[in-house]
Amino acid sequence: MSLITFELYANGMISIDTSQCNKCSSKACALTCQNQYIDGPIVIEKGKPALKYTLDEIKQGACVECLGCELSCLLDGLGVIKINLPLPELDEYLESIDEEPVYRRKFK
Amino acid sequence: MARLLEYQGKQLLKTLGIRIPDGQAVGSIQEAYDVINDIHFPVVIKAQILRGGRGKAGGVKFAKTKKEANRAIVSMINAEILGQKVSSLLIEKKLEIKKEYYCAVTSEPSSRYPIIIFSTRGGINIEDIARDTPDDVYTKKIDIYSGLQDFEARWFLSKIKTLSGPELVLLGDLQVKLYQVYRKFDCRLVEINPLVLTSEGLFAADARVEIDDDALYRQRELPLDSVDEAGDRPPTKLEIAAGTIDRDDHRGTAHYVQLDPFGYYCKEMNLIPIGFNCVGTGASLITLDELVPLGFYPINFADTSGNPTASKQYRITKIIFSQPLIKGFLFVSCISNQQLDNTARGVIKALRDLYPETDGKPNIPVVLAIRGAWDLDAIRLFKDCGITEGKWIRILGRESTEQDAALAFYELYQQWAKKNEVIGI
Repeated sequence: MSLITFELYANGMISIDTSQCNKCSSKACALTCQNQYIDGPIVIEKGKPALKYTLDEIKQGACVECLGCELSCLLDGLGVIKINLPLPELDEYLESIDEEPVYRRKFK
Repeated sequence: MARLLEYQGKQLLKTLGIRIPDGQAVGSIQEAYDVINDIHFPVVIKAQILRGGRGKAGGVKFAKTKKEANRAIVSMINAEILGQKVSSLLIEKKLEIKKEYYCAVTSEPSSRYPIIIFSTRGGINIEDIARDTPDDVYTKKIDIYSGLQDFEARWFLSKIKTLSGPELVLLGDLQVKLYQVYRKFDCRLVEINPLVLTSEGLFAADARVEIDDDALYRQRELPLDSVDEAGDRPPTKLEIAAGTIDRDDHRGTAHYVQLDPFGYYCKEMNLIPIGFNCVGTGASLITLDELVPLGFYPINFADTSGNPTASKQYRITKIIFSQPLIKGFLFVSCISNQQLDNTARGVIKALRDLYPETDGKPNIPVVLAIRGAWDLDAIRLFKDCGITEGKWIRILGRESTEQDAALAFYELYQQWAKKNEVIGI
């Protein structure tokens, strides 16, 4: 599996499994990324996503964290981009409460 | 603002050379017993809470003997005083007071200067003194570039005819140090009330220190969480979690405060608790003016303005939905240049994470009023994801008003409540 991963400025990680990307006709991830108000980090090289900036540059804020790559890949591509945005303090809170939050409850 | 407990504030004063009474903060009865075995009596035992008026509420007790101290400690630790649990006590040697003063440095919004406030009538509420006998309160603006010099402080105090020469020197020196505390720790307020004169000199018998929220990122050594203003109560776990979103990332804001964390107000007023997020506080106020008369109450306030990243929107949306009491969610954007397609991506990712079985379709009433820059793109994204096909979500566009958003939420809630047999409006 070919994997591109890069860390984000605001504590998070984007990973792209590029092993399938040759089959993608839309290249929606790069189109969305380059359509931001600054040029984003994802471009297409040899038919697959590649990074335009170094990992350090991205970590310093070259990715504006629009989350567009993940969503456009899901809608128009093959769904191979995953963005992980941890919030450990929220996880701790959820473990500490007795009552379930609404999204875990059943409603009609 | 981020407020420190008294003992924490006193430690800041001490670092700049302001004298504080001998004593120690304790977090348990055993620790307290250890301290009273070593300290000289009489002592004062003070509940460490973020509320004024604790003395009258039983949060400050004097003890001449160990027996009296034991009784006071047992009655105060873990008790609830003014609605706050007492997790720590400050045990200090009681001062032999000759005279009491009030002294503070704060930021004055109208002039945009730091000002020093001084009164020879310490120990009582400065607001009361300012109202009843304003001539007893002295203020001086401080030039932020040159700071407060010794001679300036003494000159300022020399206007007060009741102060003696030695007092001028002592108080002038203290004011300079107090200003240094204000600057070094990015305070919005540093207050000593009472400032006490004893035979050994001046002592800070109490301390109230509030740090500027926007400076917390460079005050990491302070025992504070980066939270938005929670008033006179400690921040909740959710507020602490939300505070981490903006802590190191200044690309737009994600302010979050719980207005009714335990739902007490909603219960008392018979209002339906909902989660709330807005772009622009002005739009939020108008929306709430429309919403509250319909029987709803936002148990949180959130403002995601200044074009925040989608990752911020994602995190704050997850936090809002994690409030177990909410029976709906309302998002309203004002007309601004905020890039709403980014906002939409953040909300969509949060909904998809929270509701994986329905691909992001919520199980409670959700109304999103999306109005402003890139609003059409934002609405299209919700449609493309299929979230708008959900039973309990409505999206309003640029033609809608705040009243429309409130009414749409009301109608959707009625349907949801009927279907789910939820008691309420």
